[in-house]
Amino acid sequence: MLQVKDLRVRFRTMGGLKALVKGKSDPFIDAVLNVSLSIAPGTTLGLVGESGSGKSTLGRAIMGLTKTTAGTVTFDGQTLIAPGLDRSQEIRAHSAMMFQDPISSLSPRLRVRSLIAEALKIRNWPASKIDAEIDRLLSTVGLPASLRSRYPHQLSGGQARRVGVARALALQPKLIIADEPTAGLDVSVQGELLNLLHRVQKDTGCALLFITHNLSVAQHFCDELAIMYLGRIVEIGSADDVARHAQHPYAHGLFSAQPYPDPRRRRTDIQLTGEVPSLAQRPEGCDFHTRCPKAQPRCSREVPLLGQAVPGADVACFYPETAA
Amino acid sequence: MSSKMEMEKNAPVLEINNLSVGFNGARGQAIAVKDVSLTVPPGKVVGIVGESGSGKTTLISAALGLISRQTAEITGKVKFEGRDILNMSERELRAIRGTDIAMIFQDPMTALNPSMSIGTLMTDIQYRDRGVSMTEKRRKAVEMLRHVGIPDPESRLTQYPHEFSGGMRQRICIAMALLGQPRLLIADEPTTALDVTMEAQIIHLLRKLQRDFHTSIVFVSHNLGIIAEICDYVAVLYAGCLVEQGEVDHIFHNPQHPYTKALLACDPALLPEQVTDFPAIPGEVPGPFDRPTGCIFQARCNLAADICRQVSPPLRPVEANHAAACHMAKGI
Ligand SMILES: Nc1ncnc2c1ncn2[C@@H]1O[C@H](COP(=O)(O)OP(=O)(O)OP(=O)(O)O)[C@@H](O)[C@H]1O
Ligand SMILES: Nc1ncnc2c1ncn2[C@@H]1O[C@H](COP(=O)(O)OP(=O)(O)OP(=O)(O)O)[C@@H](O)[C@H]1O
Ligand code: SF4
Ligand code: SF4
Ligand SMILES: [Mg+2]
Ligand SMILES: [Mg+2]
Repeated sequence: MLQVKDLRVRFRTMGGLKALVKGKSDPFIDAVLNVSLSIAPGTTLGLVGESGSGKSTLGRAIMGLTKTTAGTVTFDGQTLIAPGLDRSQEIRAHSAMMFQDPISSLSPRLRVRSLIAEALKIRNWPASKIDAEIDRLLSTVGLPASLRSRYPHQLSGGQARRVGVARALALQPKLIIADEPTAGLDVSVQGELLNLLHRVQKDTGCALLFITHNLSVAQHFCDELAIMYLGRIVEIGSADDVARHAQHPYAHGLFSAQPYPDPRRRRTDIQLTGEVPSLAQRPEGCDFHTRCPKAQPRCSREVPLLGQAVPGADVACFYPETAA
Repeated sequence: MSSKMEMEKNAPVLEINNLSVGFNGARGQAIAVKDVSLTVPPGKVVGIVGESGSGKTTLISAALGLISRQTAEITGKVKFEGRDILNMSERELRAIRGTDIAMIFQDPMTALNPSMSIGTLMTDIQYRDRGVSMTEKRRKAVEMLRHVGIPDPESRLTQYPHEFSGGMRQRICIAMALLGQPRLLIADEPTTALDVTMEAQIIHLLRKLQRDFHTSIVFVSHNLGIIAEICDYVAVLYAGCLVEQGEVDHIFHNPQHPYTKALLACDPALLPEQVTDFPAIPGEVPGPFDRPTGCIFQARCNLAADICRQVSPPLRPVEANHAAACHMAKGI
């Protein structure tokens, strides 16, 4: 359904010129760097990783909401984003995005009813049936019909999040990009929502790109997982494999740092320490070598590439943790 | 030390008594918080958990005087260091907020003015330090941004909120709240957009703040792992009612209210491998206009008996420092 190849997104920082004046050589940052991935119909790719590693930017770029610098996006067999080509409206016409900030991503002047009706009108729902459909959608995401007349600021964080989900489902998309769709939901509502997304996916065969920081959700909900660090995918594989036997030292550190709901088992030592490098000063060699417990001299000279650092392995590291 | 001073030292920083909040609407009043009492002892971390929409944000906003009497009817008492919050003028409130009390809001974009650079936002918030030079304010801002893990903060001061990632915006809000060295920090889901290692770093920072400056913290979160990690006490809300509260160990190891038990059992961190079905509590929360007589949780409780449908269970002690509002909980 979706194929992304060598996608790159650059941002200009500090108003470029100012940076040049200050003598900084490169006023650009690569928020997404040579990312390739694909998602088959009816499956879910989870995207996890460092805060600021480029997950939202990647999601937005696929939708054409952020300009890409290089690489291609192929949707349903057609290449729609490429250098000099932007047919992203054809992607947007068949996709839905759930944004990371729940309340501020809903137009503040529209009531819940209009927010969802808008999406239904895009799909040419007959006006006479719109009201019933809105109620149905609200109840599938566990919201009472009485919320129809509320404005976004009158909703709780989790309610706003679910309105975003209802709106996305109204579009009956072939592709859903969900940016932290369960952040701000209690574990029970989160469970319901995830089960609902599974059902929708089974019924409609839509592909799902699922961005999350919740590693247990990532492990149990997704088919495949990609781990991002500093704009690159550093490991990709089946969700179970990656979660249980992460091979990249960053991914390994991440999965061993999960909190556990028991005050008698508080984390005392966190393996991953050290400052996250700035995108403006990307380290030489491996992006992770400044923090990596396994770093060797080679790591600060050469860039380990996915599939090449260790031939055939989907991990961007010269010395991966051995698979169990 | 005289006993009076001793008492003042241990007097609660925040004391909420019988607070109720009902939002005015076309169909009448929608109850969001009902008769909640909660105290925050000095230097302690009190967690608030509960269903989405259960009134957590409303409770803390009302406690800080952030909800206007035009939008809602508010009854009860809130005292901050002995002073009555609900009857303060807007000016008195503003003087307290931002210095004595700092708040980290749930949606960072509502807290960060999109048309101001991070540098301006972070120096403006230090406006009360009149004698301090701009250079010094900038230095403090940079230092705090580094503490919350923003890479290369000096060069990012000129950037605007939309140029940061969701998690970075959240950390900027945290940095802004900490700049004033508040005595009470109220954090509404402050780490939802952070990866687990960054989250651990922030938790560590908050703990340090609490240790070094004896700051009290109210910490709202849906992440039970984080609640277990950072809190001393936990309060559980359901449909606006406080249904259980106690020391963190009691809540996780000896929960007494059926809702608390059901909630804890839904944590996906406990799911066995290979399972793809997520647990959820069957049934729905009662809406604001169909709140039942008797226990608020009855429709979803498999222990519900006749008394539950008639009498609303009061919060009563079940062991030292632990209380639950359930007829079936064994009292002491
Ligand atoms: N301004 C408002 N007008 C009317 N109702 C409101 C308003 N603000 C909140 N509510 C309602 O009050 C109830 C409690 O909302 P609140 O935001 O306190 O919940 P919460 O516990 O913080 O939930 P979440 O975990 O989803 O953030 C919800 O049902 C919400 O819809
Ligand atoms: N419009 C922009 N202009 C300049 N830099 C930007 C812009 N948008 C994002 N960035 C930068 O790109 C990097 C990646 O941001 P992105 O939002 O994609 O991260 P993320 O992985 O989604 O993080 P989080 O988990 O915190 O949401 C960050 O360093 C961010 O500051
Ligand atoms: S390549 Fe080297 S520095 Fe990079 S992750 Fe692997 S071992 Fe660590
Ligand atoms: S009072 Fe009754 S209905 Fe309410 S939680 Fe206890 S047993 Fe269940
Ligand atoms: Mg993001
Ligand atoms: Mg809230």
